[in-house]
Amino acid sequence: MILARLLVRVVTFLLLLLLALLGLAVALAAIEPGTGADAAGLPGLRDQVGAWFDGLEGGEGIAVPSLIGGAAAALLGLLLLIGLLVPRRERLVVLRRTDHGSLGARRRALAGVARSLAEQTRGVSAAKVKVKPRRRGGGRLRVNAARPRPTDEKAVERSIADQLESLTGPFRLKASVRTRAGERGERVQ
Amino acid sequence: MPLTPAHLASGTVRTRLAAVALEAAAGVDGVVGGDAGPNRLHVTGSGSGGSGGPLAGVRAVAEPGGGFAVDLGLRAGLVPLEALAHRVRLAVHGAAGAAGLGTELGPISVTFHDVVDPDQELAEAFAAALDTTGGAPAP
Repeated sequence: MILARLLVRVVTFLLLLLLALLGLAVALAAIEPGTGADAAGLPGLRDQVGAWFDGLEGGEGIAVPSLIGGAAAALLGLLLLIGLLVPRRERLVVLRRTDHGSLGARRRALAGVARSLAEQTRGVSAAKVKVKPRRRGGGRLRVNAARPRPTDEKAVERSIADQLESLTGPFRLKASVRTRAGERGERVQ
Repeated sequence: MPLTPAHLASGTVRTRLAAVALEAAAGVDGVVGGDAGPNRLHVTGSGSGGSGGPLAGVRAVAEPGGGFAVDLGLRAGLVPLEALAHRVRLAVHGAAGAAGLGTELGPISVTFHDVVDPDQELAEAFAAALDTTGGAPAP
């Protein structure tokens, strides 16, 4: 989806640039007939395209490069349509939904809270959190924390999970915690 | 666009309700401010009858049975989010009632777009102060 949107922006810019150049060529041709079209190389392009169409009409076998080009053009068109027409989805984690309203948070906000809680755990020097929302509400927190080498891996993971309980407990959030032995020089809380 | 007295005084019921709700939510301890969100979904336009520009951080939508659902997009501090949302709802109910819009208020949804770490906030304020003073922090 990100690729499709990027492609839409780039292609839109290129098409606008091409349109501007064509407009310039037409304007030049209008001022001095022949000059603008020659400058844009339009007669040569017409001859090339004409020869290609003549070849197709003449029943020549379809060249592999043409076939690949056609398929690539179709794929590009499809990507452009997806980038243009598919609405952007806001990746929200719905924490609670009642008749009185809903409570939700963006992934970044939840990750910020979870990271702050995880980094308050004794024996944790740093933590990274990824949040994955679920379609029917709730989501999953993946915590990757650094700890000093001598600490017990399982004990630190349990402590982090306990620390996150205040965030995961009231909502349909599941936390999976992993720890790794920290690098030399990493500070410990 | 910051909330101005014009938002609260003029416009349609929908825009006034949105302005009242945003003002009440912004006043709750733990709320840093309104946030339109990445797709700018939490924005209420002032409409033809209103003034003061669009409000970022709130959206009011007419309900089928009458009244308006209010959807707030907020930035919060590092506090328990559920309790904060509860306080926000209470504040919005109180403010809407005080403004004579209590009967128009429907469900209140709260979305936290960002959580601000006080240390990060302090660092940003310090950086802003450096920018405005040309290198030396403001006294």
